[in-house]
Amino acid sequence: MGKKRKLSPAVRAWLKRELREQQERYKKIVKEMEALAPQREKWIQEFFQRIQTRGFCVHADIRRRIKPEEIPKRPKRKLRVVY
Amino acid sequence: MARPHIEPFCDRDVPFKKMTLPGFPSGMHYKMLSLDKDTGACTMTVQFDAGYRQPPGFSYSDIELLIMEGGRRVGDEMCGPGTYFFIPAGVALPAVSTEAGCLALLMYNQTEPNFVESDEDCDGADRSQLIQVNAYDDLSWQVPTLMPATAPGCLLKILRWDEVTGAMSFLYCMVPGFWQDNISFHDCAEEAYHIWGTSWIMQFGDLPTGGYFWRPPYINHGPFASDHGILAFGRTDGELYNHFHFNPYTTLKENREWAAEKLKQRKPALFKWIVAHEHNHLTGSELKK
Repeated sequence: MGKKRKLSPAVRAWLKRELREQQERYKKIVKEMEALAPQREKWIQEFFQRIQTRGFCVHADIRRRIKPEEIPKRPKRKLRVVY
Repeated sequence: MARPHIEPFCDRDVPFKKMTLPGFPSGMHYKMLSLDKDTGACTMTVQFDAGYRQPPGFSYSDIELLIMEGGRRVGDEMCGPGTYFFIPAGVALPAVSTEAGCLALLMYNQTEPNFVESDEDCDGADRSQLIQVNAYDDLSWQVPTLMPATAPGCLLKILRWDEVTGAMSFLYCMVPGFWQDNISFHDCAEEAYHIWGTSWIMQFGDLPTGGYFWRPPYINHGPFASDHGILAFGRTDGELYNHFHFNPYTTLKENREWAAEKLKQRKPALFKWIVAHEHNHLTGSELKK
C-alpha cells in the first residue's frame, strides 16, 4: 500500500476534467462571496453590537462584554473570505 | 492536503454525473464536492441506483462512507441511514448491493476513486482500523470537550479519531436557536456537509441542506447561528483547536502568527524545544512506533 501507482489515460482524463470543473466552482464561489460583501458588512456591524451587549463567546457558556475601544478598526484592504 | 477553499457550495445546485472511472460497476452517480489536485483524493455525494451490485473488493485509498438515505447490503448485513464506514486502504469488503437505492457521502482520502475486485485484502492492509457503526442508533450525542468549546447546543458524535494526527470524523448537530458570537479558525483543514438543516456563518451566509465546505487552516469563520437546527457530517485533518477571537478583518498570515504566539504562551517548553536548533525532532513515523 502507499506505493505510487501509474494512472491510466482514462483516469488522468477524468481527473483533469474534474479539476477544471472544480476551478469553475471556485471562481463562482468567489464571485458570489464578493456580491455578499455589502450584506456581510452589515452583519459585521451587528456582530460588533452584540459582543458589546450580549458578549463575546469565550468558552462554552462563558461570555465577555467587549469594550468599545476593543472593537477592531476596518483596515483599508479588501476583506477576503475565500482563499 | 491540496484542496482549494470550497465554501459555501450546495450539491442541490448541480446534477449527478455517471461514474465512469475504470473498475466501478454501473449504477453509481456522483457530485464532486472537493478534489485534491495533487493526489485525486476527494469527497463526493454518491447515488447508488436501485439494483446496484458491487463485487467484493478494495481500494488503494482509505475510504469513508456515510449512508444518508436508503440502504445497502454489505455481505449479509443490511446497513441503513447513519451507518458510517472507515475502510482502510487495501481492506476488502464483501459484495455490496442495494435494492431500493442509496444516497451516501463518500470520501477517498489518499488517491482518486479506485476499485479492485478481490476476495482478499491487499498485502499490507490494516484490517484492525476498519470501522463500521450506525451513528444514528448506536452512538450518543456528546457535549464537546474541546477547550475552548463551542457554545452550548452544538453536540458531537465522534465516528473516528486518528491517534497519530488527531484528525477526526464526526456527526454534529446544532439545536434550534443555536448561536455562537465569536470568530473561529483552526490549525487544521475542516470539512462539513449538511445532511439536514440550515446554518448561518457571517462570512458565507446560509448553508442549507446539501451545503458543503472544505476549509483550509487559519480561515476565519463565525459567528454562527441556526434557527431550526442542523444535522451534519464533519472531518478535520488534524487536531481541532478553536482559536476564538472577534476581529473579522484578520488575514491567514495574521491568524497563523496569532496561533504560534498562543502556542508560545500556553506551551512555552514545547514551543522553545520546537524552535530550538541543533536537535533531532521526532518524525511522525517515529511517534507512531
